[in-house]
Amino acid sequence: MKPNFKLFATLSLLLVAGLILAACQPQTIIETVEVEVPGEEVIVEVPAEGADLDSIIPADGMIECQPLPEMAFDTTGETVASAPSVPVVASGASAPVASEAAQGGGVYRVGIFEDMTTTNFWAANGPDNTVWNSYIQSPQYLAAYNLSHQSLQWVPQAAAAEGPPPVQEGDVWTITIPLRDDITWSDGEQFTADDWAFTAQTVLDFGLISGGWTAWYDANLLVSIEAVDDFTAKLTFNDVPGLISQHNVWGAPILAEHYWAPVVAEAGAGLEGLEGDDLVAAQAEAQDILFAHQPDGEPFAGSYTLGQREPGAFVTNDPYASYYGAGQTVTIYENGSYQSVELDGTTFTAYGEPEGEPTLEVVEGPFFDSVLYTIYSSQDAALLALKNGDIDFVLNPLGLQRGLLDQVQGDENISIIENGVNGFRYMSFNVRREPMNYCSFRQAVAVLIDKEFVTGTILQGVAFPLYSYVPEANGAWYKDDVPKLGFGLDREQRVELAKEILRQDGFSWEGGVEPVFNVDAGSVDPGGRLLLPDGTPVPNLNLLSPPPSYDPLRSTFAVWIESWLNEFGIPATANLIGFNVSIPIIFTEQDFDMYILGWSLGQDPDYLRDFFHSEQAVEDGNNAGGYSNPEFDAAADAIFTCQTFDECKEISDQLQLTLSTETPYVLLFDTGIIEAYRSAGIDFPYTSSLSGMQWTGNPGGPAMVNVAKVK
Amino acid sequence: MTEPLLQVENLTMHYTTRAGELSAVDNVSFSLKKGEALGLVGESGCGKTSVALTVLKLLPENGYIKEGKIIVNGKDIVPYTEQEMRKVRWGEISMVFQAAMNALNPVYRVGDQIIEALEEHQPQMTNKEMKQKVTELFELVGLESALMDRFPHEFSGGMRQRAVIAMALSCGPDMIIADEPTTALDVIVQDSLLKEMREFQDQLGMAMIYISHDVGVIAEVSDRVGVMYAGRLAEMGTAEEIFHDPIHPYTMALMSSFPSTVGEKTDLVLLPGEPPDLLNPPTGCRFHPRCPYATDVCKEEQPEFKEHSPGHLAACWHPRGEQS
Amino acid sequence: MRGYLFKRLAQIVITFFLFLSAIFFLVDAQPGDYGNVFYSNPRLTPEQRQQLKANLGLDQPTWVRYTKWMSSFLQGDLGISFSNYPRPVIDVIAERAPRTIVLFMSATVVSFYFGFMAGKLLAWNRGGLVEYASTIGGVSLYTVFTPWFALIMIWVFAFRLGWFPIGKFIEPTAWIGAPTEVNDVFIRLIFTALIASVLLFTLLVSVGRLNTNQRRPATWIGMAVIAAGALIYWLNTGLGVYALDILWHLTLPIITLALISFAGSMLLTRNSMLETLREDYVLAARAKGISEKAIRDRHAARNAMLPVVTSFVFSLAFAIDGGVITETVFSWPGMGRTLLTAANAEDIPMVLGALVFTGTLALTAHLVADILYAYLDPRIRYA
Repeated sequence: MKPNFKLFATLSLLLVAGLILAACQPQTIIETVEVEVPGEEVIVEVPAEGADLDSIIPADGMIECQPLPEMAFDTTGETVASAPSVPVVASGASAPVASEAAQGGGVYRVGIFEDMTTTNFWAANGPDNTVWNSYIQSPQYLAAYNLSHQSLQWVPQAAAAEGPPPVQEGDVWTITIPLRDDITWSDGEQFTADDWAFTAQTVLDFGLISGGWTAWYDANLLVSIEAVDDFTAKLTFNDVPGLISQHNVWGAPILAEHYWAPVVAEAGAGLEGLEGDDLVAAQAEAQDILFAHQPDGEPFAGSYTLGQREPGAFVTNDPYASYYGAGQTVTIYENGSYQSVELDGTTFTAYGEPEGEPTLEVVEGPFFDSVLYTIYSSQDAALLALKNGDIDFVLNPLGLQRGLLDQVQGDENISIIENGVNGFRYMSFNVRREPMNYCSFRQAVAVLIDKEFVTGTILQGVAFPLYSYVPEANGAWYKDDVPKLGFGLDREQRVELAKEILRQDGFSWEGGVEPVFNVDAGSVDPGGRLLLPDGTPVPNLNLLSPPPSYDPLRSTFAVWIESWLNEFGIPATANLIGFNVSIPIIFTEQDFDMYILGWSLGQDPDYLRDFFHSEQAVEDGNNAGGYSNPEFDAAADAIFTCQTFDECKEISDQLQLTLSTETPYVLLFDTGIIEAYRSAGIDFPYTSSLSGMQWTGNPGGPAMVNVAKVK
Repeated sequence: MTEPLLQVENLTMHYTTRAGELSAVDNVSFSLKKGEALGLVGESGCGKTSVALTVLKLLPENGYIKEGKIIVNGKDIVPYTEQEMRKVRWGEISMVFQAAMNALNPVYRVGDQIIEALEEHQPQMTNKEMKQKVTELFELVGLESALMDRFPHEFSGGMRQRAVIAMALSCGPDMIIADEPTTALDVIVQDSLLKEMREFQDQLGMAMIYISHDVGVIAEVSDRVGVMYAGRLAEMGTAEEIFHDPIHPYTMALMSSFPSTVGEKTDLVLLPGEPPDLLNPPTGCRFHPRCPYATDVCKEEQPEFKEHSPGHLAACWHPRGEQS
Repeated sequence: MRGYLFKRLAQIVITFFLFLSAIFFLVDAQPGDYGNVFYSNPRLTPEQRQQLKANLGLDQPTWVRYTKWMSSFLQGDLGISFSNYPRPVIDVIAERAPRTIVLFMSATVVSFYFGFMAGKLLAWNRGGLVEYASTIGGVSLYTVFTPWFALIMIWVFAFRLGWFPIGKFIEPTAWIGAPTEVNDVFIRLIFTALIASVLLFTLLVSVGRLNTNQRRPATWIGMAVIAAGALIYWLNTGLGVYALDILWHLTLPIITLALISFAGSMLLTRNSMLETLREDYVLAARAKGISEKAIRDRHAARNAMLPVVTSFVFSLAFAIDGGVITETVFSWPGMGRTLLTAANAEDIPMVLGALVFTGTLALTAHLVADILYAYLDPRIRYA
């Protein structure tokens, strides 16, 4: 059959060659438009293919923003917008639930998806800190203060009173916090200030910077914590600690000194008297030794102690019988007042005197005889177990997959809740490069992006659009009235507004042909390429984004943004590359024009400084886009020194306003978190909370979860 | 006259193929007496191996006995079930296969394969007795008894054939069918083997059916000879008669194709053509397309296989001596 | 034979090192490194990120890290896993490997056993509804979308019918307060299986010496003795209940895995058998009056099993790799998931550690297969 074989071979080769050719086609985004302009001859210089884009870094730095031009339509976003599909969680706004006296007993069964990596709390916040460790371990440890249910206000836990303001003592600032004298560790030992001092000292001595350590005990700010006496802790800072910095150390977990001291002493034996690089190297070794310790009989002071752990299968938490807060009733009132009443009558009131109706009342447990965390490796299996009554709640930082909702909807034994999440997904500009250094350019791009269209029409409400750097779900800090570029405008209006913003700043289009919205066709007729004020054409821009396999929502946005930019005369290519691949390109090499990623946010808006301070614009910093604004820097620094909530809120608002105008990021969207629980078996005293019920570890812990009331 | 050991009457066997029915054995009848050696000779594809397989009912799935009787020791085995046949096979009739190297399973020791047959037919024997028997058999066929623990690939061709013969003798059958027993061997080994086989036969008083396309081999060992062509018996008689006095034109041509090394030079009789396609065999006498003596009646009617002189049968309209 | 073994061992060692080196460089060649995870915590300063990366040794060039890893490996130290910091790699493997091995080796044995039986019967009884049904059924199951099929099995047998648990390898409530850890029971199970197999093998070999009549009852008695021995051992340790719990959780995944993969060995056996059936020794065996079953098993299948045995040995070796899909759907976190997450996160010590075992077992399986082949087919002898 020789002739047939030859034919087959030839065809195969041709096919392969054809495939290769097709793949190697250069992407043509926009072609230079030849336009006959009577009189003048327009000469266009296109940057050569593969030209060194670094040479495009402008000498002028960032170009300032101009005020938005006046248009025939309203540009401030007053028009009716599509409501977000996620119920808004305002702080404290929830129907009052009167919790009856605890029924208790039985096992609270939770499904989780990954095993703990370690029971050693130091290591759990080490380089490999996972959310699963936090879920299980958070209820075991106390901190001086804690966030209240639902309203997320800071209230005392191990502390005996509200946090006092800092006091300057010479070069340093101190805060003296009284601690409760009625807390005992689960082995009977007294909980004292020594424990807190020891924990802080260990973190500082060992240079622990990973996980939560870097926020809780910030070596740049905190000098030490001393035990003035058994129940008084004195915190010393090398600079005035703002409210937010105080929050960080207030919420820092405390470990038992009498258990850990010998372990720490042994691990840290080699740290004496070292400095500089030697110290750093020795610290790394000391950390390894400390992390490697297997805790055996560690005492706990939180609402739960570690029960049994079977790697790969399950973990149990046992309720701590002498938990100081067992049985206390917490009430939050309409006016924001917080009051807790313990079983022995001890009452604590904060944030004003109780006035009006209570918006939330919670009686704390622990109610169950134990909490059983069972490891399921797949959501489907966990859901089946939920339906079958094998578990009561599924813990998942991403919430329930939407596709699985059908499985549980309509099941009368299961309730579904949806909450907002503290995070956002965004597109960032590399402002070190032209034309991204032009504020007008960034604003124009923001105007062109129709977030409502993508989230509403394309993604069918799975995500909701964002305009504020503090998400709506974070009620205390949320600022609604920021400039919402393009909000409520249709495509024609967006194009016109964007053009006007750019024209105002000196931009033009090749051949004088501008993109125009064609009403009959319902689409934009592209014009020539966008030209910078000095006449050079805008170079091909790349937009990095995670691929559909990693996040279909972001990749959808990327594809639409690419198309809107191209039809406008801004040549752009969406590069959907693997998440792991993109990280070094963005944060280390900083070789990009625009990228789309996301951030999970903390409770306080200090992250605005982390993202946008010019200090962070270096290699491996958060500010990969290079945003640099001295005024912003000064205000961002101030957010760490403001002392009162109102002061800090004002600064935060100012920062948000600046960012919303300057647009170093175009905020895109976020999704809510959906959770399902077995209402036939358990009861939550409330179901609306920032990021959902997953953090039934903190505040209150699974301590607040109760057995379902008998019907 | 004693009862014949084996009596085959009008045996017809067909293969069912996609192209149609293949008439492999057509109306074959012969008998075999105790101690007698019958030789079946013919070209490749003439049906002699098929006859052997049919007698043992070792047909493949698409082969079936269309009609006829096979009477072994007085019982017709054609209606026997597989279960019943298992006793007949090897216990009453055994077989020595063509190309014996393939008849032995390469992964078992030779001795064990013989013991396997013994276990089946003589289950009352102990291990020791069976080993003893194998040793005896090996000695009988001229093999060292140590060889019984060796694997088939360690034997030479001749040794393998002896081993297979030993296996065939193991259960004391009344008759052995030897299908091309020496075809795969060189002439020297062939010679000694044939002599030895003749000897066991006499020694043990067994009947044998030799099947071969080699006329010389058949001449050496057979008492009686049957010549087959295209699935049918053309002629049958004593070895003397067949070789020196053939009456069927085919036999005549066959014998002359094997000229004597002594005596006068004679011309070889060349038969034009090839053996017929058994899917569509010729009408009448299957030899007629090639027969120099064929006439119209040969085309139309099948000649009866009948005696032309005592013990000498042929199926021909124009046997020698009756030709015009 | 000795010379052959020696040469092969040398080959194995060289291949092994080439393999490990190739993996190291391949995983490392992925853009970025494990340090990527530190970018998701915005509170870390750039210096801190670099510090954390340096602590893991990621700031050093590839060659330096490779040499370091190789030298500690040669000293028997597999290093510390990045993603399970600070657990040593060997610790993580020791935790996950026993359950992976128990599940996947059992499943392999069951799958091959049934595949072989089915293939043997199919080749023997050609044609008919059974052949069509088994082939179509087997191939459909072989090509079915595994995660979906596994879920359906769980949904039908565990959720709807309640005959089996919904995944997991133990029932947590049964183990609260257990006298020993799960891995202990798994390891005991592995040893029981190992010893029982060796005893069974010896039994089958020695039974061959007996007469035919004695063989069958002797085999059954022998197997009963072995089973009784195992039972007594387990009752003695008092862990019988726990072992049963594990076995109950093993059942559904094994059935699922066996259903999905038996068609492979079934078709292989069938094809191999069809070839051996044409051999003359099968006809000769028939002529000897041997029973159908004996012909099928002793003659045809015995020769047909050679490629199947090789395939089986390899499958056993790769049992330690587990299977991500099965582990995920049935909630048996094992080596498959570990390897996948480690490879995705660029946790090089973990990937290499896991593959050290895979490589060792696979290369050993090669050697074992070669030796086994020589044992099964006397025609093969190595110079």
